[in-house]
Amino acid sequence: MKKLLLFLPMFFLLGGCYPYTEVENMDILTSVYVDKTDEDIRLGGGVANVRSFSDSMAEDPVSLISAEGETLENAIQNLYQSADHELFFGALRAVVVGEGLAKDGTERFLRYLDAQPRLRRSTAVFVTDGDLEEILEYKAINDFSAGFAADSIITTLYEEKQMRYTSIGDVMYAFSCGDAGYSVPHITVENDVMRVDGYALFTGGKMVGYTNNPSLLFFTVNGAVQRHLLGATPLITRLMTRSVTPEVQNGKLHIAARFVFAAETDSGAPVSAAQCKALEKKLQAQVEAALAYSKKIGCDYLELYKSRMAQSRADFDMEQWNALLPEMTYTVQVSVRAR
Amino acid sequence: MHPQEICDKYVKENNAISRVLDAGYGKIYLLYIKQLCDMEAMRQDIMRPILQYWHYLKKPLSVQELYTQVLCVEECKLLKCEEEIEPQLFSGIAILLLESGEGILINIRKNASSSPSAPELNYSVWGAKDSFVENIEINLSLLRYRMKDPRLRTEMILVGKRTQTAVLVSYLSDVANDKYVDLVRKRLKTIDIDGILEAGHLQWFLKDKKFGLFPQVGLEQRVDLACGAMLEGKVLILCEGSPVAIIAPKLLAEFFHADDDESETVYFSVFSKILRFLCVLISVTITPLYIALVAFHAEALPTAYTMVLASGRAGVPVTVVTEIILMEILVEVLRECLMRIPKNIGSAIGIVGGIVVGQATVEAGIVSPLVLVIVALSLMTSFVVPDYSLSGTVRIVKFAMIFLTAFFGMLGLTAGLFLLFGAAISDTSLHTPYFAPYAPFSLRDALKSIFTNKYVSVCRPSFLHPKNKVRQKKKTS
Repeated sequence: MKKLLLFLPMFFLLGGCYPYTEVENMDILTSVYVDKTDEDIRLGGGVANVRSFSDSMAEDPVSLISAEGETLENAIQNLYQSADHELFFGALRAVVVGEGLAKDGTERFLRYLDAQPRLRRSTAVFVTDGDLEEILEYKAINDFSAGFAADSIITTLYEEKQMRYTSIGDVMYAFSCGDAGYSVPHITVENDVMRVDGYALFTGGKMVGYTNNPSLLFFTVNGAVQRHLLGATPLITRLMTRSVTPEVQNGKLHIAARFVFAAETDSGAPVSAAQCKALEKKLQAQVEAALAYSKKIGCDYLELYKSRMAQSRADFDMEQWNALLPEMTYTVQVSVRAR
Repeated sequence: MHPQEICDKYVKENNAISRVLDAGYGKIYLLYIKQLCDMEAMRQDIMRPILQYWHYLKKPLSVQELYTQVLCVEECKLLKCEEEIEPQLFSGIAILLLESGEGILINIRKNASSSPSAPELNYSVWGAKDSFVENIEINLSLLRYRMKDPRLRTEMILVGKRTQTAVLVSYLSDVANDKYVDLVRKRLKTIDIDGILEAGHLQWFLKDKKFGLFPQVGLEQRVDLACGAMLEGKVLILCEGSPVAIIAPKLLAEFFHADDDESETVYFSVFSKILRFLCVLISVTITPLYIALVAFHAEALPTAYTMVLASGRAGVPVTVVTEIILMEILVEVLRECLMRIPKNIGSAIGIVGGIVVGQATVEAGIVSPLVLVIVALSLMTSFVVPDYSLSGTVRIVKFAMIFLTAFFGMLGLTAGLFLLFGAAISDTSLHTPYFAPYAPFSLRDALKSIFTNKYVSVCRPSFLHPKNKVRQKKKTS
């Protein structure tokens, strides 16, 4: 009896069946897009047509829904009204932001998505200046459904350490760190081929720049890989050691960055000392250019703040980090060793 | 009462047979129940010697002469009082009465013709194939055949006012803890019921918790495993007329132990034990988990799986809970049906039920194909446990979990599992913690229960508190 009395309150405290909605009775969003035109906010998404999986892909695997509104709230409201069922954000794989809204500010929209209880924070975020609906409808070879293409491509490249993956969780983390900067892959569809052509750079939820400098990866991805062509020799460099040390003295930020790479050839032929030297020079220039651009636009898209936070979170909280960037100085040391 | 009156009474009321031998040297009354006694023994070992003695000696026979010189049976004893007649008569004893009022009880019980055969429940690939039978004497001889130790104690207790069923409590006096023996003896002696017909009925009286969820005693058909249990320090209870022995105490971890484990390599044995435990977990949780994922937490799965779930469910007219319960009940009906019908038509029913009905329900769109796979997996995994008596618990628990999940989602399932473990941990078998050696935890016994051959381990399980802890002496150099 005592046990029963103990367990009864437990059941009353459980959630209950009010969130009971079977998955086939929901519109499963595989991807959403948002953009801003001159007057309105455009919002849409790809809804997976689940019947197509059991129907030998006879129907379109994804149906687009879209809505417009003067404000983000209106657009969201209209999107819900245009959907046949409750929208299910739990299977979302990509959030594609148009450059229009990216420049105006994405924070409110991303925070709205983040507040969806079923959303996974690992959902990838992209920026594009192309046709948003075309990106959502794009279906890569062997993809399960349309709407996955951007996520599939970036996941593959990320696993190969050739691209940065930015998720809603990463963006929320940057927001929580004093609106620190972050980079988001910039995608486009050209000649029916989807590709990542660079990164949109953000501070405080607004796009402040664009770069296709691959050295961004050296700061943000462990073991980043780059391919080079020195003369006629294809070479691969792999980041082996990274040391980024920010120092703040008298209100001035100085970055001491040191990178060690291992170089190899595709064919297994030895890499000469001269080739290593040439690569060092090339990579040094790339890294310096990345830091210079960060300084120029005042955006910490290289995530230097993470190194500073690792040194002292308390100091970082006291500093106006974004304000330090325009006056930043740096020293870069790159060395390449044959593998 | 005069012997003739006694005989008349039982002949009239109980259809007993009364035979009067009279050669002019006094009458001898024989009272017996034909169905229970061996008639050949009656003729050859009782009647013929008496008549021959009369023929040669030509004088009346005293009860002492009959007892010591005439009767050719192995077991007989002098009648002490008239009250002894009734219980002995109905247990297959022939009563010999003299006109003087003296008498002899003669054991010429008819032994059932059943001989040990291969067990149907505890089947083993490598293990022994003999099993208990309905006759308690044969069962005792099977035990004695394997256990030549004089310290094997057997106590006979009669249970049931009308059936007077013989219940044999067997244990090793220098191994089994006295508390177990006393508890079993006490529980059996306090049974006040009109009849006990099989071992299954006795279970109820041996339980610590009458309405416990888990089986608290073991039912064993195989003689070698029953002897193995006694060697561990357990008590064996045999019931007349039942081909099953009761083993007490029986703990949860032991339900996962199969005899074949000892014949395999240690790696395969450990793998099998882990597999069995996982199978029980799968059996209990897979259908509730499916409900939770479809109806409450679709986001917990990768996107591709969510879509497969949704595409499978698309077009099914009933809710996922109804779908699961429908299929589970269908499977349970099929299982129940296959247990009751003759084996010859069982396979036909299996095909009709399993393939035709299963496939037809999917094609008719009543259930999704994935549900069929899940329910089939759930059924199969529930039978992986070597001891059949735990399978029933697993299936009942599964239904409880389905309802909890249908109401509360994953939290309900988690709470249900929590309650289930709570119930298992708080249970006892003959006052021994049911979850031993894991709760209360004993590292040595826990490791032994997973990694070693329990029949050849150096020490007996400490949680059984055996009198003699060591079962194998360590080698000394």
